[in-house]
Amino acid sequence: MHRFATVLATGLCEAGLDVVHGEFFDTVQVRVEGRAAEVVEKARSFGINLRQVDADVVAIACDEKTTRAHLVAVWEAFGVTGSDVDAIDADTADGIPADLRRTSDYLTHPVFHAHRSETALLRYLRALSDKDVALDRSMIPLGSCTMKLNATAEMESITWPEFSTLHPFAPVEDAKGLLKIVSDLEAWLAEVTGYDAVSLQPNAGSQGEFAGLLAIRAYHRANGNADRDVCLIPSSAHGTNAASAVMAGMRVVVVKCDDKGNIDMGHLRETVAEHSDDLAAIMITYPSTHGVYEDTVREVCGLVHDAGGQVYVDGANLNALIGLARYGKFGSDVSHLNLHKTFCIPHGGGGPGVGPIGVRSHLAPFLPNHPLQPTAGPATGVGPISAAPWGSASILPISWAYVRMMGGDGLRRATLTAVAAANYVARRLDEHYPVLYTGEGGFVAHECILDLRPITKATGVTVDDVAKRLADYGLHAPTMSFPVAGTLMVEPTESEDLAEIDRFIDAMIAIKREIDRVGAGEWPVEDNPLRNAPHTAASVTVGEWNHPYTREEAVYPAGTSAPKIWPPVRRIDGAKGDRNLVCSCPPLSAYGS
Amino acid sequence: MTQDRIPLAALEHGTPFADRHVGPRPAELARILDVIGVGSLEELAQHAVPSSIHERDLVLDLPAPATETEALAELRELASQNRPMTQMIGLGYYDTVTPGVILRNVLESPAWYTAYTPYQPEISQGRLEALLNFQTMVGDLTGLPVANASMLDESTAAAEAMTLVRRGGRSKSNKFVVDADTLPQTLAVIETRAEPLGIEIVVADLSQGIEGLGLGGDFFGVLLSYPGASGVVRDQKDLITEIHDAGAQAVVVADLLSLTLLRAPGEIGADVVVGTTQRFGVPIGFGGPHAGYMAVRSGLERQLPGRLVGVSVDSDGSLAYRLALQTREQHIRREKATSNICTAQVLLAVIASMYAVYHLLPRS
Repeated sequence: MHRFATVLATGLCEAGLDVVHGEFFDTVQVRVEGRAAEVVEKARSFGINLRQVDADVVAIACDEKTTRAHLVAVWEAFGVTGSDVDAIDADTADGIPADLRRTSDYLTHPVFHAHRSETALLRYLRALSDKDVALDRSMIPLGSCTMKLNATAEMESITWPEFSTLHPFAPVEDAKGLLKIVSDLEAWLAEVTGYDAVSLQPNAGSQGEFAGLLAIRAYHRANGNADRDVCLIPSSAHGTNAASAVMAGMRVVVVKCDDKGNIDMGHLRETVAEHSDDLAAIMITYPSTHGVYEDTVREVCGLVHDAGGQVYVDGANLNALIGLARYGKFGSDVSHLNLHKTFCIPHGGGGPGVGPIGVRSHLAPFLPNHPLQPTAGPATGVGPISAAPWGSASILPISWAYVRMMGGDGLRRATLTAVAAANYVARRLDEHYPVLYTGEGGFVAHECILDLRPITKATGVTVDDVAKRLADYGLHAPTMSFPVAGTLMVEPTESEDLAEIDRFIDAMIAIKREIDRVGAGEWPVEDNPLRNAPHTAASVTVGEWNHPYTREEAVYPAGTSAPKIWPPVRRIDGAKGDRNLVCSCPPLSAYGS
Repeated sequence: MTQDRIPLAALEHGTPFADRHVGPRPAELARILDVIGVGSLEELAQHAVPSSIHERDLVLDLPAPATETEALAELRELASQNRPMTQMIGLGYYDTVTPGVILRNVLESPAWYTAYTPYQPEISQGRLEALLNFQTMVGDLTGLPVANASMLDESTAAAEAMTLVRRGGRSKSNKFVVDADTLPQTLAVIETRAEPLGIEIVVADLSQGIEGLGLGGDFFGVLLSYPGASGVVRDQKDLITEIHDAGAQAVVVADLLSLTLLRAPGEIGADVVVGTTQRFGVPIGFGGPHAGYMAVRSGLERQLPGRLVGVSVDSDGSLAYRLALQTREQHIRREKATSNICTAQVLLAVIASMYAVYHLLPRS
């Protein structure tokens, strides 16, 4: 692409045009006094988008797809005809001065050379993904993560060229269809949350939190309350809330929880009274991070509003609420939603996410906007949160398709099924692992916390042991030690059928029996199938077997009828790696042992 | 004709999507409800949701559900309203070819896209290896020793770099200088981030060095673009020396692909290098998602935001990967964390890393 850019520039120079810089990589700027708009328009008539820098300057960026025909067309847009691409190429030196040229090696590790045929890469990709447990192999009951179905019909359109090749700074008329998806989705998300306006720009939940808190900050400033900078956060909150508040220039004050895991209303009242002059906001999660529908939430919102603060409800747990209640209707002013939880965008192994925010009308003027796309937000907005005007726009069709295919009743059914599944897990496992928190009437919301602390105290078996042992059973572990250390949080979602939920529950019960054998002294705490989990194929096939349980118990604890998922490594020593930090590919010799 | 015959209207649409999305079949749901001790989902709603917030008669104003076929037909129609063009706008977004083998077997493969963040490393070694390849690629090309496992995009990566050098440096100044030849969206995102933190952004033309600005040593960091937003490639070696002499740190926003031809910023003293890996086979997609990247010099690794994959060993002494230095992150450090970033862009980082694995990226 550098050579294409060089030829492009040379052709323009030879025709007497003013190329602004002589030293470039892929982007060429051309000065055409007063004619920039005309050149850009001419190029558009050839199907090419160029960048108009100002009235006099046009920029052209070459890329992997640039062809010689494109160069000829761009030249023509500048009024240059009859130039010969190949002849110019033969006569043109590169545009990078010698002392800026790279001389050092890169990508020398064998992994960057061993998979150059399609067969080799195909097998490398398969070999890697076979080491992992994703939703295509097991339920992933991670609490607070909502690992529901990512349906094929939702995914299908995102790689269509009509969506995937659009440029975010091209004229908006090029993206009419995608912008309809944006506006539909904004309206639908506002409807399900009870808010008045939605911005899809934040491209992760963390960015949504930041955007929402900035809106609150801007609102207070607009009302002459710049000194309101205290953000109340319950001790049960996700750590991201506190980190976001600091980024938004707020001071974090922690509100305690009572022994049922709910916000301690007495402490909240005291704290609000103490900060009645400088209270900016409270950040709560609903249902709570403990997986409970707190019945005081409306009162919490009222208390904060009465003291002049705004209410931010973290929408991480929205999957327990759609069709039943709406944030914007019970007192919240702003929320972010995690489209990668509730609205089916896949987690991708840790991203992409989409974290839109919904606000009530008084905060709408303070949503994000964008300097290069005025239609992407209000002129009075807080500025851009993400690089692109509509954030991760190309994956919005996933959530659009989900809402479009579920309808209002379908979404409500999904919510209630998710709640039912979580309560089923809670009821069936409670006698083996006590459920830590429930709401009034003994129900949980869409997830439940299993308390392992008494078990750990009595037997020495830890949450880690249980989580790793689940891998021997071919299952992914629940969330460990969040939001309460020493516990497991389980969220089955509405998408798992009963057989899979039962497989998980049966495995957990079988593991409890194993724990009991440790507790009874039958297996030592340091040598049992839990502490030694997960078991690799190598670990049970090497020579002598010196453990008090059998090889079969190690690797086929649930019998041999189901396909075996073999963990590729055993329990990993995290601390050792942190002491001797290596964050790039190790030499092949390191794989020796 | 029997009375219980299904109407033709119901047959023409096949199975409603909700019946596919929701796992339990009716008999299974009945068993679930039985164990919970409620007669129906409605009864569950009455019991579980506090009456103070429960909107009992809520009917969401959404379109009636479409079948999978209908929804895809509507999406086809919406897609046809878009106008795919040859994109030569640049500004951080470049057209690229996603190799078919990567498109189908990563971006369109549930084995990759339905995985979660690798919190259970023993059953996540595949994507951890792919991310380690990504970090190695970024480290090699930038010329810096440690890179993280992706950022949300180039502009937020630049903003995170600003706060990183403020945390990691000794300067007491609140000024951060940004070269005027920087992508406009990056400058704007930096300004959004700076304002609540009390950081003052000084935008200046640095083509003639930094002395002429009259700041003395009153800045904690400088952001340079390489190449610049205008496309120009400048020698920044002396400028970076000047920045260091003033007791500040240098952030370089670099086009990673250009670093196959251009001298690496790490080789001329850049403290932090950030950017995007979009043009490594990740579709432009109207702006995202793409994997941003961040690499740092030795000594700043513990200040990195976001996920970092590291090498360790398992209990048998075999080499194994897992997330490193998690104590930097907000789920542990809360308001003292290096950043609020959690979810990053793993799927896109995997695509970019595989693009590098698959392609010969020539030095000349």
